[in-house]
Amino acid sequence: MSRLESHPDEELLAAVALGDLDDLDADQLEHVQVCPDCAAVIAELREVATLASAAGQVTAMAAPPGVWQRVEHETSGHRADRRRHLSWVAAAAAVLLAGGGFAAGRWSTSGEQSTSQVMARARLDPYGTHRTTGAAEMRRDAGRILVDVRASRLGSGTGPREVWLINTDGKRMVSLGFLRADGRGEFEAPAELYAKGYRIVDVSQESYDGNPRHSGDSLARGTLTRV
Amino acid sequence: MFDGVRVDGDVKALSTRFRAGDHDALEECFHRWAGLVHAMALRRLGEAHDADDVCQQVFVSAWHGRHRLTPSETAFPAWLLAIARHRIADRFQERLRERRRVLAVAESGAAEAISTGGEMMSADALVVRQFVDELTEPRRTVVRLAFFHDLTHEQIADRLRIPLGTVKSHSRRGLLQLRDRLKEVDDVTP
Repeated sequence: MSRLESHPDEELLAAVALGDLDDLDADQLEHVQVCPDCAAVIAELREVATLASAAGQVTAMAAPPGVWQRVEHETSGHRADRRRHLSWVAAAAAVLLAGGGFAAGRWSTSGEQSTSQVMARARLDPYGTHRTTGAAEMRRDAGRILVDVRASRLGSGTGPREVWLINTDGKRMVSLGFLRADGRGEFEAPAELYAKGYRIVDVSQESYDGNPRHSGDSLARGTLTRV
Repeated sequence: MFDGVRVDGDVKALSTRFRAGDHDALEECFHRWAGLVHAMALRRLGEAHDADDVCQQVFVSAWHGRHRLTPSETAFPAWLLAIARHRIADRFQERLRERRRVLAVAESGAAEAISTGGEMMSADALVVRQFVDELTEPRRTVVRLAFFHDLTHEQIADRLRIPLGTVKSHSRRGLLQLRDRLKEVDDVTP
């Protein structure tokens, strides 16, 4: 077996690329100096090592806020149809209920006829050790404010998930209601809430203890920003 | 599992679900790679709203064309980046058309400056960064300390309290892995 045919293991070539010749025996050292194939591999690995150093300078690559909602909307065609139907039914039901009834909001869609106008959006980021993510959209619809919330990776808690609007003063909050089992909810809110500073959307894990106060266990949170 | 890459079948399972039309898989895929796609677009296009648009188009295109994805351990991000290259190129074409419409002679120099060798180098650095971030421990820490922070293998072995041979192995195999992943990204024909 001629020396030129027995290329050292690639891991050893990587060692050479990193400047570490200690683990090569004399034959291998000679081989890598004369073999063009090995030289090419080593040169390529050196370039990768240089890139890896540069990679250290890269700042965190965060998913751009607001883009997921747009992707989700564009790829949920069939869901949009279902929602159209549901909101017609719910709108009819809302007429029958006395004021303050549950109003099924809709994610604003460019293709649908909609009287509602998006005012603000929030991306909900995981809070604490939870992995919950989601989004919220606040719309004005004929004098009401509608808040649509969607959250996923809600974790293994068994109680309901409540949605709050926390004031930017950090002291006051109001409850909007509870998410459904699918992590979604559509809520109606008093029109002046946003103007009064209630802009932080918070999703909390609650328990069936009958205590209306915030449990202190937030799953996700985000701030509504005007669009 | 001990290879330094995330549990075998992690990306493959995700891409299988994605291809099958599981919308949750699209969301997971977005959370995992949208940052990289956005950073690539931003680096080439220079404007955040353009990068946002490209990012959106990439994932929507990926979803609508998901039957073209061959699920495997490594193909997904490479496939996404191939789509991204297309969408970025489309955006450049739009800009050129806009510029011609405006007939601003002074801007023709700027149009040529759009793609340079320097930019492609940075794009590869982004990809490498993403792959390093996806390594499992302890390989990720070894690779970060060795390549980002320039520690010697002895220093790393000392700091992490693992054998020097293990550090060298992670460092070398990590380098080989990065090379393979980069090759896959460059090889995927759009």
